[in-house]
Amino acid sequence: MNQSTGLLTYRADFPILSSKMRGKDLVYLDNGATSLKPRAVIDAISDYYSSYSANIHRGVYEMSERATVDFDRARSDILSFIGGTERGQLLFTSGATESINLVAFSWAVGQLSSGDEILLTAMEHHSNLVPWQQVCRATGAILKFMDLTPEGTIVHDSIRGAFTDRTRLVAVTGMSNVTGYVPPHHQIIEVAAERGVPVLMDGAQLVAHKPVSVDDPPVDFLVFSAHKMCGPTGMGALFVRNERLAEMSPYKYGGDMIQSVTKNDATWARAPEKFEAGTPNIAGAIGFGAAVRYLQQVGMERIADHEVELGTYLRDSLEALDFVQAYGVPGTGTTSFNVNGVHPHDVGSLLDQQGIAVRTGFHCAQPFMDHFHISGTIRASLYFYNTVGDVDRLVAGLTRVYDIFG
Amino acid sequence: MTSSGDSHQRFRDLIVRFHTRWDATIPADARAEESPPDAIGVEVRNRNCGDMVRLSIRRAEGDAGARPFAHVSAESRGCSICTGTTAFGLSLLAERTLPDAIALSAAFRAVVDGGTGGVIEEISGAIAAAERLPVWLLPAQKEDLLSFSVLAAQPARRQCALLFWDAIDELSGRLSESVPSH
Repeated sequence: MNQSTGLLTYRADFPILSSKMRGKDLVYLDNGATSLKPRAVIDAISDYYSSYSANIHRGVYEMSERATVDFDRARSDILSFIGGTERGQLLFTSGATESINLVAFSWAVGQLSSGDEILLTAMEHHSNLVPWQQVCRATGAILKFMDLTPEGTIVHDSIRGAFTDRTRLVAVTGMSNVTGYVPPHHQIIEVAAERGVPVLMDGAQLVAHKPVSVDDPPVDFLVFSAHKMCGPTGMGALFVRNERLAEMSPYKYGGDMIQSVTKNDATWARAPEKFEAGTPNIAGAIGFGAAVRYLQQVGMERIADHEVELGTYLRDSLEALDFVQAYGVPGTGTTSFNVNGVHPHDVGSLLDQQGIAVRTGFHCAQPFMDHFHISGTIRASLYFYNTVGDVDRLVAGLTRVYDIFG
Repeated sequence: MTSSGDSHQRFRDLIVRFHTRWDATIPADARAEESPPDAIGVEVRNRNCGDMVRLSIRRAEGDAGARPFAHVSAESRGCSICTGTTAFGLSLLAERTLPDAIALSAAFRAVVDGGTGGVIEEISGAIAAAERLPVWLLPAQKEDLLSFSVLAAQPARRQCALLFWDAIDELSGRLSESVPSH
């Protein structure tokens, strides 16, 4: 594969790519777990803490006003990044997991009743499964799952039949964190819209890797995390359609989410503050804003195209090894695989010794592992700063692993 | 006292010597075979990766804790550190007693807990761990056990190695409760 030099130039923006791991040049292939951070994001956070680390929405002095401006600008930029327009629809959270829990316990428990159905897939990350299990325990609703092929893709012909008169919510991944597969969202949401069923999309992986618009296809809830898209950890967002916002009650109370407070009662501010009690992760939000501006500069279409091309090269290279079993479908930036007879942790540890970082284990998707009838895998997940050379080193590393253990 | 590099190599050699091949198609929650009817068994799992150790012990008749086990066996599934440590630990418990097993578990934990500080703390931690090793261990067994100190800096892999010793502690607790009184 001949890699274009266009995206290679962005590697210089990531200080950590100049570092070594175990004395070897770093090959980072765990972007599904978290992405690396460009200097622009690091500097934005550092600048806040070193130059104007005041609280927001409170002070009338310059530092506080500057912090407020940058915090609000971050929200505006992130909203624009996903095709949103109304400030009140973009809530800051600690990440996609908290975002889903916010929907589950501020919206779903008040909307669902016994016998209602939540439609999911078995490929969901635990964060988009376990909260719904708890919602079902609280409300008497039940979980239903769309059919999957042996390769772990949704059976298209089964989508319409998966909906019933009791379907009250569809919660589906934007992109599998195990295989990189993108479900047929337009088809799923078309059926959901016909039936008036709200849709939550877990965009934790998707938003980082492909252009996204909350109106194409239209979703009611979109969750995503900053740290998977060049931003800081502990920071994420939840987009909520206005109709759903009106149905949500806050679950976290305190400062900044109130309109007025007496000794015995309080009224709430409007969204987004209504759902953001307490001092927020100001530095995180500023860093998140810097991350989306950086990604817009790189170009999400270019990122998506690069990952398809490099991901295809990755999968082809792995499948050329007769001791490797790959799962899922080709053409994605994420491939999960196994080495015959060698536990994933052993593969990961030996790759670590060669300066190569991959993820091993369940990937927080045990039902998906069950679907493939396996107990774990190694996962290589790419981002726009990965190269052909990274893939080649992974392949060489795996060959060495098999020589030792196989 | 062996050097850090020697310990790493010794540890790797030990694991390669003792581990078993992994089968991806065995589900993480697969049940192990039942223990012998007259043995006490326990099964422990690593919640992060599904590694499993099943330990079975049968005490000598009338044993109050001072007689070697009549039977001790273990089955493990998982990574090489889990299966290798299990096989290695099992090899140390042949002809040993319940107090020996408890002491060995404590000694192993001291070795892998080490310290999270720099070289000095690492060395002093290693010395302290060596002083806690049971006296009945052969010199080669002591060196093998001490080589696990490399896991002090690898908390994820340390959990894999501790699984066998978690089984030892759990089973020892149950056996201690059932010690016949005189």
